[in-house]
Amino acid sequence: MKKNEIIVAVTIIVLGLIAPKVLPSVWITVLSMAFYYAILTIGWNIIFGYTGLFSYGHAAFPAIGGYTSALLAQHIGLSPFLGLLAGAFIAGLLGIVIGLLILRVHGFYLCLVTWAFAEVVNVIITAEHQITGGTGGLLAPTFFSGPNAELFGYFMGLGLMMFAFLISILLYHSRWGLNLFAVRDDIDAAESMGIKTRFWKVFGFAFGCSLAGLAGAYFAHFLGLIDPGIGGLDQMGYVCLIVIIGGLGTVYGPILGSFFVVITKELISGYASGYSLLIFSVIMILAVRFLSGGFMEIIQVISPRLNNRYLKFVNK
Amino acid sequence: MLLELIIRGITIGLVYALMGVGLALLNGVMRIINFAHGEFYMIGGYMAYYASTMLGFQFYFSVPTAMIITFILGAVVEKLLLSPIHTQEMEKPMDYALIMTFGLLLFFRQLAIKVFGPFRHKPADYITSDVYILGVKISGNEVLAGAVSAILVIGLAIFIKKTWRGRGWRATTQSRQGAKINGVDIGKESWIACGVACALAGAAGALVAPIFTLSPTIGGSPLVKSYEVMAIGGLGSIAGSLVAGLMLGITETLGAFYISSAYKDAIGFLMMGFFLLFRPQGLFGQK
Repeated sequence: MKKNEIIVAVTIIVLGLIAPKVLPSVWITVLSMAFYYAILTIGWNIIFGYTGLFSYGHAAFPAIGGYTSALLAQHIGLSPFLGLLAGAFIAGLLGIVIGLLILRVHGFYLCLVTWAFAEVVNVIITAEHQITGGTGGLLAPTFFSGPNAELFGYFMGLGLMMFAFLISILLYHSRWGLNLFAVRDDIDAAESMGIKTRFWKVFGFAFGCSLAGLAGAYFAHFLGLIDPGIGGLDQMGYVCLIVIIGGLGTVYGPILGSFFVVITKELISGYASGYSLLIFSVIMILAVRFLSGGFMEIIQVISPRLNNRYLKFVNK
Repeated sequence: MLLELIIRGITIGLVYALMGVGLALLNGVMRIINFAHGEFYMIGGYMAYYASTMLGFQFYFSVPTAMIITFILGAVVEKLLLSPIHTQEMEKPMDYALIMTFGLLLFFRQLAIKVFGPFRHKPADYITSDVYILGVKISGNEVLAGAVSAILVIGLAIFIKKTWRGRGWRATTQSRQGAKINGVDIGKESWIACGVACALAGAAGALVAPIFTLSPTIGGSPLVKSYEVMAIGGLGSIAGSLVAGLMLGITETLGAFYISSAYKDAIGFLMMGFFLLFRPQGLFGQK
């Protein structure tokens, strides 16, 4: 870990601990949603930003993780904390299966296969309503009970987000991360350097998916309810635009993007509630066109010390 | 009954082919995939609807109107948003296009909900009388949709085969560098091809608008179908797209009737999966 990253991590923790004291209580839920999106998009950032696999079905994995955890809690009475692990584990396992399937395809076929998978998951969740509760959703036990349950859930989310953040930083600087970058940048060169590209593709994919499963389990147990909307196309849109706006392939990008998107959505919800996705999609299009590095590019330009440290991905 | 199903399958298959051909053209000339292809279909449908209800156009005016509007829209999108693919030396143009067109998909869909409203619309029937083919009664709309789609696909094939511009597109498909050396203006051909591809999607949407009703989210299904057509027919092959569209249409209609209509969309996915696994280059594609 670099000095900057420690400073940023400590700042986030301190701000996160102060926030419930300072802000009105409605913001606790809003910020918890930001934590959820941050964990989810850190996962997608590892899949697309680090490994270079454009997964279009990422929103299916929080659904899998969340439903796994909620169903386990309902049927065998598993505690929500273990449910987080179970959700992450099952999502990661399915990530390995899908990762093995998509080894044969690349480019837009990869999109198509992952998209088809997400659609199938959504259809199953909606159709098997005896088990999953259909479109009405499924009740899940919350982490804590009592008057401060939401506040403790918030701290739980903060902790999980920092955990995911830490993992993504460690991965970024480790040899494993370098293997993933090599697979992303030039797969033939990576192969000739002796990197097992097939293994690292599956690894990157499953790793991101299990983070998504963790996020889904947190979502289910924080709100106490999970419904099929969590795996919809809109959610995939949010995942994609959060990472693009924040900065693809950087460690801070997903967190920056999630907080920007969730907080902006809350701020404009008073007078333009239906327009949030429209506005964000415009920002995303403009970001892809003119500022491929997202917010991180602005930060890099402002502080030349950070320059050259982070790899730009999409453009040049 | 079987004959009726096959004829229906052919008509819907021709519309799928029309969608797939647009994607194949775009993939050939620009080497990208358009995620927003289905949204142009939706926009085309709405334009035909407004042309026929507000301006009182007959179908032979409203469908071309929809095509012209989607052509302009596609060309503008290419000029403004997709042109960096050939003006800048991009390492991963496909990833750029995927993200950009996914953003466009979200944008057009949300915009359509705001502009056109979330309710379903249906334009008046283009042809009110029924048509008898081999003793089978088929609604005039479906026959019109199938016939016009066939004309457009074949017209595009002839255009690409015979004209200079089509020759330029074929050259660009084979080798960008070679086409550039021989004086093909890649920038110009790209926006024209993008416009034509979007106009074909718009035409498909306009043609089937009276059969399936219009709503802002109808773009998803034809998008998937056009991908399936492309994967089955082979990337960038027009004849392949036509055959694949017909195959898909007929198999789907038969499957929906004899197996279950709930699995209608799964059949296309299965066919695509089969082709991806055993013949990745598609029916007519080169390796």
